[in-house]
Parts: sequence; C-alpha cells; structure tokens
Amino acid sequence: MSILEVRHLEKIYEGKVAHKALDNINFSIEKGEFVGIMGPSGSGKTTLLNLIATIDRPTAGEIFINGKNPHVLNRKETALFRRHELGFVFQHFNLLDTLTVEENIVLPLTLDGESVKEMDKKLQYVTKKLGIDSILKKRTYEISGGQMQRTAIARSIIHSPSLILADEPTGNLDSKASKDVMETFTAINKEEKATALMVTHDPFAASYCHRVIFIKDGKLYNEIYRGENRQAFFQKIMDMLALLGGESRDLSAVRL
Amino acid sequence: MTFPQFVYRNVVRNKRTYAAYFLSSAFSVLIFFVYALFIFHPDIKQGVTKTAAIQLMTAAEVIMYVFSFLFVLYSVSTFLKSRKREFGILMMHGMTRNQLNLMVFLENMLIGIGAIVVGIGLGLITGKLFLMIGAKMIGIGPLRFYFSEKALLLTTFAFIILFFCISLFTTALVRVNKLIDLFQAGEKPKTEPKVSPFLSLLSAVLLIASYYLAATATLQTLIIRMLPVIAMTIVGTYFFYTQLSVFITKLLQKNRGLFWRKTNMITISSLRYRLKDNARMFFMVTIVSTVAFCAVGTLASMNVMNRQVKQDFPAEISYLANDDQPVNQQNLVQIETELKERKLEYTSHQIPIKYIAVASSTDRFTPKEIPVVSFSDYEKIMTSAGNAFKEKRLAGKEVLGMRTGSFSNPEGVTYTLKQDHIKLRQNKMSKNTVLPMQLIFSEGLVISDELFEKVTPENTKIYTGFYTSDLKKTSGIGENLVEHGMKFYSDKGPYSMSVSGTIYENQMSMYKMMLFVALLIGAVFFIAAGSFLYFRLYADLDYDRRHYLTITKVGLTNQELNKIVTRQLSLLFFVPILVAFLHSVFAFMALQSLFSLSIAKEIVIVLASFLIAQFIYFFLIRFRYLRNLKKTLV
Ligand SMILES: Nc1ncnc2c1ncn2[C@@H]1O[C@H](COP(=O)(O)OP(=O)(O)O)[C@@H](O)[C@H]1O
Ligand SMILES: [Mg+2]
Repeated sequence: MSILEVRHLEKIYEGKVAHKALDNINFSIEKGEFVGIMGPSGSGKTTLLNLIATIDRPTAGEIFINGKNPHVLNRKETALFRRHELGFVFQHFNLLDTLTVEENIVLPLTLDGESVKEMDKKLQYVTKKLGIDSILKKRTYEISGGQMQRTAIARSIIHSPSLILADEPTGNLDSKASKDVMETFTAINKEEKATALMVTHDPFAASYCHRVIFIKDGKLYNEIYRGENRQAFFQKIMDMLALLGGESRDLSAVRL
Repeated sequence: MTFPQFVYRNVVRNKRTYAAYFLSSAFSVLIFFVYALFIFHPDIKQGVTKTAAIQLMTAAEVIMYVFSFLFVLYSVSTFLKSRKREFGILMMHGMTRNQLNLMVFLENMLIGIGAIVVGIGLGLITGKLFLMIGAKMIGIGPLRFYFSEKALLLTTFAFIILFFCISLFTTALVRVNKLIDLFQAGEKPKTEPKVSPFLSLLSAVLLIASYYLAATATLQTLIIRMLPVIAMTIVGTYFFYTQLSVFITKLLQKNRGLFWRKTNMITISSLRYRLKDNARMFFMVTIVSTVAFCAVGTLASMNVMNRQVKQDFPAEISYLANDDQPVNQQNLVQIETELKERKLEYTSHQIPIKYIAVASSTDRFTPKEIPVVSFSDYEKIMTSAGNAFKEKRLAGKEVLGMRTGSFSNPEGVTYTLKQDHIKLRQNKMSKNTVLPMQLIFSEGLVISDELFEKVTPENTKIYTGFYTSDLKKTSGIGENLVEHGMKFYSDKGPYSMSVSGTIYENQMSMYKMMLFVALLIGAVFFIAAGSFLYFRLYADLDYDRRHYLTITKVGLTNQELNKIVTRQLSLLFFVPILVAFLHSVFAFMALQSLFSLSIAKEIVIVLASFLIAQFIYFFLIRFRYLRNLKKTLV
C-alpha cells in the first residue's frame, strides 16, 4: 500500500497576479521508500511539501497519507493527524531554543500526553541511534548545526510517524555535517522502515534517495531511480539538473 | 517532560523575552500595593482632615488598576506577536488549538502570579521607605510601618482577577488562520507601506490647529477648548505616525542626493518600515508619555503657589476691622503677642479705607459704595511687603483700580460719586494686590492723596497689615480667629482676616499630596512607555538580525553598524518623547493661563528630568541590544 498518494494536485497563489505554483501533480510513495524532490529554484518544491505537510491548502486535487486525506479534517483532527502521522525536518532546524535537546526531541510525545517513562525509553532509543545521546542536556545554542539537524530528525521520528517530510535538511550545513545527516536518514530509513520525502537542491544529498522526482515550473518533469551505485546515481542527477537548466553544484562532486 | 513542565520551562528559560513583561507587571503590583498600604494605614485613616487625601489616593488606585489592565493587555499582545514562529513550530508538531490556548493561559498565570509575589515582596521591603516619603510629602508625621492584611488581600485579588481576565483575553488574541502564515511570520519581505496624502494633510491640520488653540487659550476659553483640543491632538498624533511621517520619509527617499549618501539609504528605508510597523506603538508611547509629563508638570507648576500666596496676600497677616468694637482691639493685641512669643521680627501698618457713596457707574453693576485707599497708603503697603515700588504717583482725579488678587477686574470703568458728582475714571489696575479679595469682597480704587483728603466716607474701616520676612513662620497664628488661615468678609462679622502661613501650609499639604500621587502615576506611565519600546525592540530582534546579517555580508564595518543601530534606536526612543514634549509644551501654555506667575522654570525642570531618564534608558537598551545583535553576527 502506498503511504503517500498525490492526485491532480494544483496550487494557485492568489495575489495581484495569480500564480500557478503547482499544476496537476501526480505521484505516490510506497512504504519504506526514501524519495527526493528536486527542481530549480522557484519550481514549487516547498509549495508541494507544505501542501503535504498540511501547512497550506491545495487549490485542487487530493493528498492521501496512509489512506486518509488530511485536508478534509477539521482543525483539531488536522492537529492530531500531524502529531501522529507526520514528522518534520526543516532547513532552519526550527528547534525551540528555550528547551534542551532532549526536551525538543520529546516535544511531540509531550503534546500527546505520553507517560514520562515511555518518553524516556523512546528518547534513549532514537538518540543512541542518531549518536546524539551525549548532548541531551545541552541547549540548542550550545551544539553544532549538524547536531541540531540530527536533533530535529530525532524529534521527527520519535513518535514513529507514517511519513517524514524534510525541506532542504542540508541547506544550512557544511559538507561534513550534510554527510552525517544524510547517513542518519539512510539508517533510519533502512532500520526503522521509515518512509521519507525530502526536498533538496543539493545533488549530493539527493543521491542518498531511492528515487528522485524532478519538477519544473510546477509540473512533474521526470523521475529517476537509484539502482545499486550511488556514484552513478549522483552523475545521473547532475545530468538531469543540467538538462533542467537550474543551478547545479559542480563542487558537490568533491565530497563523494 | 509533561505538558505543564513544558510550559513552565518555556517561561523560566526564556527570561529575556519575558523579563520586560514580568518586571513591568511586578512594578504595577508594587505601586498598587504600596498605595493600598497607604490607604489602609490606621494613622492616615484617623486624620479626619485628610479625607481628601484618602479619596485622591483611592481614585489614583482605581486609575492605576485600569491602566495596569490596559498595559498588561498591550504587553501581552505584542509579546504574543513576537512568538508566532514558535507557535508555528508547535502547531507543526501537532499542538491543538486547545493546547495552545492552555499553554498561553498557563504561561500568563505563571507570570502573573510571579509578578504578584515579587511585587508584594518588594512592597514589603520598600514599604517603610515609601510610607516615610509619602508621609513627608503629604505633610504628616512619620508613619510607622504597618502591615495591613486588607492591602495584601486587595492587591492579591485585584491582580489575580486582572491576570485571569488577561489570560482569557490572550487566548482570543492568538488567532491562527493558516499555519503557513504563522510559520513564515517574519520571514516574508515586508510590503511597501502605503500612505494617503489626504490623511497626512489632515494630521498636519489637526495638530497645528490644536497647538494654536492651546497656545492662545485664556482663562475663559480654556474649559471649552480643552476636550476638543485633546481629541484633535490624539487623532492628529495617530495619523502623524501612520501617515504623515511615512509620507515625509517617502519624500526624503526621492531625494537621491540625500538618500544615496553613505548609510542614509539603510537608515531611511528601514525607518520607513519601522515607522509604519511601529506607528501604533509610537502613538501609544507618545500619548502615555504626554499624560505622564502633564501630570507631573501640572503639579510641579503649583510650586509657584508659594510666590502666589505672597502676591495675593501682601501682608503675612492682614486684619480688616469692620467697625470699632473693642473686640478688634483685643484681636490685634493677641496677634502682636503671638508674633512676639514666636520671636518673629515684624513691622505693622494701619491704614484707613474709606467707603464712599457711588451715584452711578459705567459698569454693569453699580455698587452702593466703593472702598478707596490713598496712593501713599498703597505705596506704604507695598514697600512694607518688600516689593520694589515703581508706580507713578497719582495726582488730582487720577485713579487706579484696586487689585485684589491675581486676576484683574475689568478696566475702563467710570464711577460717579454722590459727593459733588465727581467722576472717577479707572483706566488701569494697580500693579500689585492692595488688599486681598477674600477680606474686602468688592472692587475698589486707589486714589490720589489730595482726593483722599477731600472725600467724605459713608464709613471708614481700618486695615492692619503685619509684615515678616518669613511667611511660613506665621502658620498657626490666631488659630481661634481664623479657619484654615482665613476669615472671609461678611456683613455682620466685626472683622475679616488672613494668615498667609496657614493658608500656604494648607495649600501645600494638599498640593504635596497631589504631587505624590502624580509622581507615582507619572512614573508608572513613563516606565510603561519604556517597556512598550523594549517589547517592540525584542519583537523585531529576529528580523533585525537577519536584516543586519545581510547588510554585514555586503560589507559594513563595525562602526557603521553601531552608527546605524544607534540612529535607529534613537529614533525609536526619542521621536515619541519629543512629540510628547511638544504636546506637553502646548498643554502647559494653556495651563499657564490659569496662573498669573510664569511656570516656565518648573516645566523646564520636569521635562529635563524626563529627558535625562530617557537618555539613561536609551543607553542601557542600546548596549544590550548591540550585544545581542552582534552575538549572532560574528
Ligand atoms: N505565499 C506565496 N504567495 C505567492 N506566491 C508564492 C508564495 N510562495 C511561493 N510562491 C511562488 O510559487 C513559486 C514556487 O515557490 P516555492 O514552492 O517556494 O519554490 P521552491 O521551493 O521550489 O524554490 C515561486 O514562483 C514563488 O514565487
Ligand atoms: Mg524552497
């Protein structure tokens, strides 16, 4: 069964001039898949993610997550849906700097009123897995960007959501931290069977995905699968980006 | 971490953001509590003469409460606005509306209860000091510290109710329509501010008109003009910030020679957005500061009462005998004895006042008889009172109107006497008060010595003036003869009398008490205005950081950054204060019409003290703000 199904999705931004940011988008993601979305700047990647994340409403079309359409739910149900079914990772980390690392991680469980014992158990498990169990008591301004992003990832998976959504998770990180973060993603995807959708314009980050969907001017342009070799996949992504005409990062090759 | 724990930690660790809100709430509680201690103090309640004091304090307490309410409400709403992103993150992770409301509610109650505890605690510590100062100011003996349960309960309950209502309100304030708006709050580039030339013009017209009306107000027109002028000023100020000021910066921006010079471009363009963004805050700070300045300034200007008493009552003790009953002689002896007992050096003079019959006058109302004094006697009174006397000696039928107080009677009246139908035309009032209004209760004339000899009076009264060098020392003399320092003229009584020392003391004690109240209220308002600025600054800090980060990337030296920030902050701090100054100056010009003596000195002192306070506050905030900003820039 597919975890995410997007059908005839359309988004028009009203304004002085109405702008069609997404036009008839169709695709689906199976359980356990790790999918990347790429495209030139302004092609509608963030818009697409926001619609799936229920942050914004589509103009037309439907989204099903685990067979449910979150956009027909009322406000409270949407909140609960987000809490239970979705996990988020952002470019700017979006951690609360009033809280410690561990408090940030358990936040979704706190909102759900879970018992402290249960929270602790889950916390130990995910933080060990992500290698951040030594910084749990620290405040967000005391840790590095890579650690912040891994904290955000821990927060996004602690409640075992159906789908993890990530918008440019490596956008604010240096190459070493990007690599750490992407390897973390791969690990939780493999070991926890977590399903993830990641928007990025970094071909290096995208090369960790099973599949990359390209959009251009709000329309689906193409999709490519990884196969066995990540290096070859990276090359294919670079070629596709060159074809798309967006900015491509030649220097990324150095990191491989 | 459970949900309540989460809320608690969120507040406690976010000290910087909550500090201003918390401290100003605690300060409101402190002032309210100290006032309550005062009102419920048994020693104050016992003094019957001070019922006016209690009433005034009670009124002040109510005003404080209402203001605290508005103040806390405003603080909360700016505070919540600055946290949109945080709310966005929380809602992202599935926080429901109810949970958000609960969180905001609990936070507020937490801060509220904290503020009550801290405010009352500080009140208990500083209570003794306040009681001492307060007692001194309203002119009663030192008060012992008295812990009143009533004051404690009143404060606690009043503020629990206040914070409870505010907390309920706030849940309505966090209106989240679309999560995306919350989430992108502060990230979107700001839209170009729009202005209407019509409203800009309206604002200028309203302000100029109300300044004009205030500056030209006289004693008669003041009451009629007051409310419309206040309303016009408020509306004018509002549009000044929302429209006119933006309009002006827009014109500045068009001037490339100016705009494209060095850091001007950055300053002016962000000033424009800042003005528009902060228009409501500027408006509020201006109005609140104006109220503070006016309250303190008005009271401070009453300081001239000291001089006013001296002017209205030239002799420290004036005694006017209506007839020659022996009681008058006795009273005069008593006064002299009392003066001697106090070892006060004094001089005294007796002068006759002749009441002469009037046939007709050009005034609307013709008195049956009019009191007159001779020019020499007038001179004698004035030189004894220590006034430099320079008026031209009267001759023949020249007369002066007899001044009986600060406010003059109409000039240009002709009196025709019954005696020989002598016409006396009064073209001018005497420069100084000859006899106090309260003693004589009639208009009168100063006439030349020859004429004074010639006129035959209906009756003659004897006025006695006692002069000393220190008005205050006469307080309490002849206590059995006067009430509150004054025995008014009456037809039947044998005499009328005034004792300047007692009058002065009475006025001063009322005045001091009002000053005490006004100072506290003024201080509260001024501090409130300061915290409005502080909230605003921290609400924008995130945006500013990103803004300056971009600018520094382009290449901006440290000094240039300091300069830009200083300039912007000083605008934020001093624009509303200067506008408030301007408003106050015109308000004082109107107020001046109530006083015959100049209040300029008092006003300058008050405004200067406020300005100094604002400077100190400015440098403090600037230091902290720059440090905060640079932390993220390096
Ligand atoms: N809130 C909005 N209002 C109007 N237009 C928007 C809004 N957000 C994005 N757009 C427009 O929609 C298009 C897609 O934007 P976005 O999804 O952010 O692109 P990407 O993330 O791929 O760079 C862009 O042309 C952008 O200008
Ligand atoms: Mg984007």
